[in-house]
Amino acid sequence: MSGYIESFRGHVLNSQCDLMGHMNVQFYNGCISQAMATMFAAVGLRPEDMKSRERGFAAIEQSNRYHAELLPGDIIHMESGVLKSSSRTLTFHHKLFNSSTGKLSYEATITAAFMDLEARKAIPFEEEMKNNIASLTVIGEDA
Amino acid sequence: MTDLASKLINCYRGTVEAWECDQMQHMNVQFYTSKAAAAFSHLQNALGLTPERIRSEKKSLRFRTVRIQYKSEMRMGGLLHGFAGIRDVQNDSITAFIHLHDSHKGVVSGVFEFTADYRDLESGEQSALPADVKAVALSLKDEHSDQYKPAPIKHTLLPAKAMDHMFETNRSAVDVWECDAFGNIEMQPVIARFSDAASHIMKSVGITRQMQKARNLGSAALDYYSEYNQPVKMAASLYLRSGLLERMNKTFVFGHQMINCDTGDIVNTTTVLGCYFDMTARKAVPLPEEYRNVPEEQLLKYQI
Repeated sequence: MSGYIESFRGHVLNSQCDLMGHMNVQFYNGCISQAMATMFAAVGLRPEDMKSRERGFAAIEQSNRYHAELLPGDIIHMESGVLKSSSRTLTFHHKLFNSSTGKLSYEATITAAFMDLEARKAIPFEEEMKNNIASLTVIGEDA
Repeated sequence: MTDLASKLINCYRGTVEAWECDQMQHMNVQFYTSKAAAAFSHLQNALGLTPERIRSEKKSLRFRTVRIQYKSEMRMGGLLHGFAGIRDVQNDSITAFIHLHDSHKGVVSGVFEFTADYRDLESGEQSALPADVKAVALSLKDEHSDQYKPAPIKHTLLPAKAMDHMFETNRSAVDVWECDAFGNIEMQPVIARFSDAASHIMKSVGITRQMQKARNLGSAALDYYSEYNQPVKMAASLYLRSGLLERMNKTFVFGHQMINCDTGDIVNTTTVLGCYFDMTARKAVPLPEEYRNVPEEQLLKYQI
């Protein structure tokens, strides 16, 4: 489990489910959005930092895999880690579990760029953030 | 996931989205409840009431009384995590808590202390707690002396009876998207209706939105106490009847009755302890003069 941290814990509302009777794809990204807030903080960027220093992240690329559907009332949690990093980007790996059965429901990899929100361009990570990124990096078979 | 040593159940983790914040620039009360509702699902699972079991047996724990304290405001982007614990099991009722913590500040932000009973999700009828659920609840029952516990309520609570000097503060119907898979209204839209009532309460004492903005005033709920008397079903027509119970130096107490328009039944009573605050300093201010101008005899406490 090295590198992965719990990034989100919630449940599936009936209003999030579609005519197939399962959680609609858009709400998986809602879970990702929630998880990313945890990960940004873990990397070292808190909400007040983002607001005052005008720093943030922007998603560049995402791939998804749906393993097992989620039904109304299901409880869920997400574990997330860093797969790889460059001077300005992080690739996160998110795993969404059915908390009741322990089954992996969905996973996604998302590459996000660290941004200067005023200049609206990608910038290098600060030194302190690099240490945090290292501790969140998933190693070995867990990736 | 239950920590067997502390008997606390890990039940929530998430963030405050931009669209969950209201004009007071903090997370609206209804979203504390939506997060607590997610936490409640994890608590039920820990007791053996898995989502699969709830779906097949069509029964689950339902809130009967809920006390909510808003201890520390949450702003956009804030992180929250939640723990639940069982305080008592008496007959077929469970007394428990869900605490939502501000993950950055390390303080409790939202406190939910509640009683819950076991009900049929279609008929609303109460049933005995299943033996296995009761056994797990009893094994998790604990003093939780290291966890926050609210002091007893000191202010007047609104009873479920019609009174003079109450007025309408909300009128609505229950939409499909506000309900769970069994056609019962979720908790969030119940609280949303009380939140919507706040501006009508202000207007009732003579404070308009323009006046509020000019004074840089925000309003905040500090403490809610609710009794859920009946299930509220999809398409039900509802209205809120509200009134000023008490007023103090910096706080006021307002009561709401949620009424089913078809039957006239009071399906929910909620008493709110609230205050006004400076939107810049984020500190409570003296209760506006308009509240003091309400004639003493119109305070509902004298009819109780």
